[in-house]
Amino acid sequence: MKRANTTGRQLLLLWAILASLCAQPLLAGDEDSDTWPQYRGKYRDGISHSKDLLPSWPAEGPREIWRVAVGPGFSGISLSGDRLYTMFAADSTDFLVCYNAADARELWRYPLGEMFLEEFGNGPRSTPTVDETTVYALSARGVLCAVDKASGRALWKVSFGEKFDSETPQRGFAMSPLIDNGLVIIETGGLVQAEGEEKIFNTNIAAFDKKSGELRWQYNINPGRAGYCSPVAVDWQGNHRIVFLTSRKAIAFSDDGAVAWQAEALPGIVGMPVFIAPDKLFVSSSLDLGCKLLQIDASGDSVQVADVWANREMKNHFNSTLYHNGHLYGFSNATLKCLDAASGDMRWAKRGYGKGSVIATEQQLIILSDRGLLALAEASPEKFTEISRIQALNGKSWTAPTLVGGRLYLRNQSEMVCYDLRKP
Amino acid sequence: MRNRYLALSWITLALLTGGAVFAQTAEEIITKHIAARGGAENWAKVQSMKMTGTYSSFSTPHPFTLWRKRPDLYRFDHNLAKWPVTVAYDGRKCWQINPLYGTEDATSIPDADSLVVLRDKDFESILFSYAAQGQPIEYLGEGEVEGQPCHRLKVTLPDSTEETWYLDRETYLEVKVEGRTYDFGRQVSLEAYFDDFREVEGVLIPFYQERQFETRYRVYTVDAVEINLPVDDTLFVMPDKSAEDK
Repeated sequence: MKRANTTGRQLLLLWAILASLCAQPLLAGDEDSDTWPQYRGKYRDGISHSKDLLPSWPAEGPREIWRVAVGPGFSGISLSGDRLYTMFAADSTDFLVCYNAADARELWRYPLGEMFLEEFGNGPRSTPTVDETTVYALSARGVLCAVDKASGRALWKVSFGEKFDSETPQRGFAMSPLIDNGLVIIETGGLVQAEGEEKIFNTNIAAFDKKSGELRWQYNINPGRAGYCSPVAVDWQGNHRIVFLTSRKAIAFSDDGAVAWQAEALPGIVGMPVFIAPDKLFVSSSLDLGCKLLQIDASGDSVQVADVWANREMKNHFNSTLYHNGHLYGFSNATLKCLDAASGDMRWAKRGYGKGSVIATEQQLIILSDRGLLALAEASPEKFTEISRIQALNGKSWTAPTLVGGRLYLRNQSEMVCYDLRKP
Repeated sequence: MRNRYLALSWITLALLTGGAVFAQTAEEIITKHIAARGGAENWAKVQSMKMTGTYSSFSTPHPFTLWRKRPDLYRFDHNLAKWPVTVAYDGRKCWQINPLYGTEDATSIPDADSLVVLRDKDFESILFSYAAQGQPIEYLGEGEVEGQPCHRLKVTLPDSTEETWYLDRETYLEVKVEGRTYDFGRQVSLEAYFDDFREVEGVLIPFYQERQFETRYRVYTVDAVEINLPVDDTLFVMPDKSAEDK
C-alpha cells in the first residue's frame, strides 16, 4: 500500500481530470447505450444513459406506470426491446420470468429448479443477461440456462454440480452471466475434494458457446472457491479483456481464455470491480479491509501492478460502487459515500438509506434504500444533496434499480414497479 | 514575507473563530457532555430501565425490549433476521439464546463476544466513568460527522483499545463513536451513531442508534423508555435447560 505524496497527488488530479474528460462522450451521447440487457446495465457500470429526465419529482412521486406482485429473489431486472426479464421463486420453484415491459403482462416463465432456500432471503440471486435472441440465466443452485426470448423454451442448460462437481455457495450462485464474443462466461465453482472431514474447494472460470452450451475454455483456480462477484468486459489499454474478481485475485482473460494478467485484489469481494480506463481497477471488500485502486500496466512485455491508493472508506457489501466523472459513489456497508477516484479521499458520506443501492445518470444519483425508499440526488462530489424521495417499495429491498428509456424499474422480495422519470 | 502574512492571517482567524473552542480541555468537554445527558446526579437516581422499540437487522425490523437494572443486570430481547435472540448479563456471566450459534438453548456467551454485552449493560456512556476508571482521554480538536461540527475525543479503554468520540459542538451529545466490537468472536471495527435524544425523567437518551460493523447494520429506534419500574432479578438469570425440559 502506498499513499500519494503531494507531487503524486497533483499528477493524480491531472489524471482524474483527463479521465473525466475521456468519460464525457460516453455520458453525453451514444443512443445505443440507453439499454439495460444485463446486470448493472449495458457496460455493467451502474450508469444509465437515459436522457431528458425530470430534474425533480412531484411530492407524490414520479408517475407510476405499473406495479405487480413477484416472488422472493434478489435478481435484477434486464430489458431487451419491449420485454423485461427477472427471476423469482413461486410455489417452491425458482423461475426466469418474461414480462411485457409496457404493462407488466407476464409472457412466459421458465422453471430453473427447486427454490433456493437461504436464511436471509430465498430465490434466485443472479440477474439474467439478454442478447438478440436468447436469455441466459443462472439459478442459485448453479444451473446455467439459455432460453429462447420469444417462446421461453429452453435451448440448453448446464449444471455446474454435474459438470464441475461444484458445491452451491452458502448464499447461492449469484454471479450474472457475461455474454461476450459468442460466449457465455461465468465462474462455475469447482471440484470438491474431501480429505478426511475437510473439504478443499477449487473453482473454474468457464466459457460456453452461447448457441450450443458447449464448453469452449476453462481456467481452474486451485485452491479457490466460487465467489459472488460478476465479471466485466473492458477495453484494457486497447485490448479486449474479461475481468474476474475471485479467490482474492483480479484476473483478466483474453478472448481465447488465456490469462492476460492477474493481480492480488482483496478477499471477501462481492461488489463488482469498477474499471477506470485505461488501466485501473477499483476493488472493494465486504470485510473490514476497505478498498483499493489498482493500476495494472499490461502494455509491455511484463505486467506492472501497483496500488494507487488503499483505504477503508468504501466497504461494499452486496451492492457495487460506480464511477462517475472522476469520482466513486457507492455504499460502504450502510453509508452512501463519494470518494475522489484519484486520491481515494472521501468527499462526502450520507447515512439514511441503509444497505441501499445506487445507479447514476448524467447528472443524478438514483438511490434505493434497503427498505424501499427511492431518492433522487445530485451526482456531485461537492456535497450530497437529496432532491426528491418517495416510498417506492415496502420491505427488504436489496436489488439495485434499472433505468432505461427514462423508465425506472424496481423490485424486491414481493413486488416490482415501474416509474416514468421522463420530462413530460 | 507572504507566508508570514498568511500564517498571521490564519492565527487571527483562529483566534476570532475558534480560539475559545481550542481552549477547551477534554475534561471540560466531558463535563459538558455529562451535563447534557442529564447530569451524573440524575443518572444515579435511575435504578432500572425498560426500553422498547424496533431493532433492525438484515434490513428487517422487529420489536425489541431492553432492560437494565443496577448494579449491572442487563437483558436485550430482539431478533436477528427471523430468529428471536436474547443476550443478558446476570451480574456474573453473560448468556444468550441465539440460534445463530447453532442451538436454541441458553448458553454462555464466548469471552470475546461477552465484551460487547459488558459494554452495553451500562446505563451511562463510558465518558461518565472515565475519571474513576483512570482511562486516558485526549482532545483531538474539532471534526465533523456528515457536515455536523463536532468535538473529537480519543478514549483509551481498559483493554487498551481506542475509541474516537464525536460530540456535537453545540449540545455536547454524542453523534458518533468509532471503535472496535466483536462479531462471532472476531474483532472488527465499529461505527456507532446516535440521534433523536429525548429527556426521560431528567436524563437524555438517544431514541435512535445505529451500529455498522463489517457487513452488519443494526438500527435501534426507541418507542418508549420506562424508568425505575419494578424489575424482578429472575429476568436476568440464565434459564436452566434441564428445568425447562421438565
